[in-house]
Amino acid sequence: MSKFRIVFRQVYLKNLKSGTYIWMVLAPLVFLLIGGVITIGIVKTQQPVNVALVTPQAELAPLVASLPKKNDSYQRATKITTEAQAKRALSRSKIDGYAVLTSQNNQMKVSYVSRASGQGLPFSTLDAQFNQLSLQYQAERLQLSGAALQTLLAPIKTTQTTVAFNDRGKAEKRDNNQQVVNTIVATAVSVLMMMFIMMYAGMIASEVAAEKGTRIMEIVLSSINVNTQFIGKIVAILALIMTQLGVYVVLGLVGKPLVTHFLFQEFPAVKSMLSNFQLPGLAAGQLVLTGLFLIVGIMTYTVLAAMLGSLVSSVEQAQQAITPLSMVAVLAYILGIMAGNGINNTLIKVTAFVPLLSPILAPARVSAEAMSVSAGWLSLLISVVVLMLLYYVSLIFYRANVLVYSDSNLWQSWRASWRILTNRQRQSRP
Amino acid sequence: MPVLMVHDLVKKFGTMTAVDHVDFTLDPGEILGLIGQNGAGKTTTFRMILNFIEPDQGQIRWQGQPFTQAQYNQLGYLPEERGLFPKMTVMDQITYFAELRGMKRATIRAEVPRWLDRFAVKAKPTDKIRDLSKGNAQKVQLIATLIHHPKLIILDEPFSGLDPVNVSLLREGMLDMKREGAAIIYSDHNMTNVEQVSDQLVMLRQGEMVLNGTVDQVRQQFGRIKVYVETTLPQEQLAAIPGVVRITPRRHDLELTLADEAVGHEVFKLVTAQGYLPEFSQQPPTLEEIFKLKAGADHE
Repeated sequence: MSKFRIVFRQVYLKNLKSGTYIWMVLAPLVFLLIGGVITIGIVKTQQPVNVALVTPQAELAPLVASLPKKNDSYQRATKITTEAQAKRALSRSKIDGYAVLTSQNNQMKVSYVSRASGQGLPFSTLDAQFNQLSLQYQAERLQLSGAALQTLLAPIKTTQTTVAFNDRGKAEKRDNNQQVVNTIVATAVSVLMMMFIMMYAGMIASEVAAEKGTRIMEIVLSSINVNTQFIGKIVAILALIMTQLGVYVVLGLVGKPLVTHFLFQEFPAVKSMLSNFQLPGLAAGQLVLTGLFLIVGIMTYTVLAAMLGSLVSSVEQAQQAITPLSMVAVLAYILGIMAGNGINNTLIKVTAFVPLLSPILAPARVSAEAMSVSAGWLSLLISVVVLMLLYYVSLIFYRANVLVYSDSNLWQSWRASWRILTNRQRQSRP
Repeated sequence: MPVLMVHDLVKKFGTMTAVDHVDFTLDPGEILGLIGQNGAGKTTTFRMILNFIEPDQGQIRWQGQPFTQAQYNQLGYLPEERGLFPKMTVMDQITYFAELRGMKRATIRAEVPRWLDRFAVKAKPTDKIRDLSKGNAQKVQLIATLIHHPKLIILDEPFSGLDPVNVSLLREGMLDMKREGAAIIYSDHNMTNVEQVSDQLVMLRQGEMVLNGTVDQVRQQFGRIKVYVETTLPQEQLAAIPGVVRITPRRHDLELTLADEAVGHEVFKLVTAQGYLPEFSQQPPTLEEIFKLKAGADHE
């Protein structure tokens, strides 16, 4: 077996079996599951608002009776027909409120009474229904024809259209609630990116610092070329990312029909709610772009974290070593959240192309439909080029640092490794 | 051809010279003890041989060639500070290090139990490293250093922390590897070990090589300047002999340090003047004494 494969397998299997990695893979699924269970719980336990609609005037009783017994907003207590009954039912918490319809001088009047501790009455729905009822009542009183009544009752027709422009400048229809969906998806992308980047960066920095601190590094590097060892570690981390994404793809493919079948059958309301949303992140191109940004982003932070991990002399110092990197990631995360919330200023636009920031920011902007997919690909290309450069720079510093032990702080270690590098270059000159 | 040739090696860190013009060669089947106080330059010398750091001056040759990746599999290295993966099993740990030295997995798995027996490691191959005692973990690391039968073995203070039983097990292990033809270079502070195991020794003081040669050669360099004598003569009478530098009373006899080995004749004449003498022995100084003598020169 080649020495690259030996290092690769060791790093891959060791981390694959570690609690940190297993938690990192499972965490989004656990959060999703908890969120789902809570939502289902809320939907299941939510009772419709119980309301009694009564009138003391006999001529209005048929009108009140004609109102729907049940709709999305409330459920009528049809057995309650008088105000006294309604009051009693309210005091016994059997209903959340009641409405009393009266007519004086041919003018309809509605009085609502609701219990402070009960569910709020759906006033707008009830108002609309009573308005309709009032129109019907007045039309009948004025003896209007059926056609005239239809004309009078016909509501004004309104349409609302929100558009998003695709790469070719073509407008695509969006529902009004799309902005909310975009914000949610972009925020989720930023949070997950930040979480994965920091966990993988921490993983490689600890790996390097632990091997260095325990002198395992000395044994390994007396058996294998440092370049082979470095690339073995980096590729193992790449394989861990691919494994993680693979787990999600498989779970997604297997789990989606099960979840949608169960969810839509049990809760038709969820189905109708989801059909109103267009999920921008689920478009194939955007999904691939986000996945690639995730890989490139994690790899960029990983090679830098490996270099920083090689500066310190013990695993306890690993987190301190990657602090500068964490600060950059936090900045990218904040910008990503801002982009997800629709902020579209010059800073956000420019930084979406800056490597280290773009892996979080660009997918968030693409998800928020503030950046076209083709601009996203351009940003990815820049990140890939910079990743390759950083790989070589990190390797050079890693080679210089990884067997140099020092009790000094990070900055002094950095300066010492710079001196070693420049000395080597001077020596290698003829 | 020597397995290892170190020629005129110099390494400086800033203004401090860690290794100063060091020379030695090591043949197959030979053990070299590298001695010196802490900070004398032993580990720096090892790190240069291992190509971890580059010398400022001088040459290191492996079988006449510069060090390349081709030699990695012929090397066994035990660092001064021991390092193993605590969560790994004994078998996996040895397998990982031995695979990195080019051994086949199946061969390693077959050989590990035999090596565990040989070094009397009180652990099963399936035990986790973190559950081992310090001594056993140290022996596991030693097995990982030797299992691939390297041609050059570098051991940085291998005896440190071992009890007397394990010291003799390690000593035997080193002699076995020597018999197989391996060249061994190791550092140690225990001069008894060095005297018993080493074919040649190099002593460094502040990076400089102050002693070099076989153990006998080194001892003979100082001449027979020690006399151990059991006598009823008063110490003052012995001290009056010109050339007697110091008299140290021991449990049954006296230890006399001489300025020159020829002074021994005068001492012998005096103590045998009255006839029978149970003990008179004139010897070169022990390595321990030479070490203290040479190391002490730092402070003069």
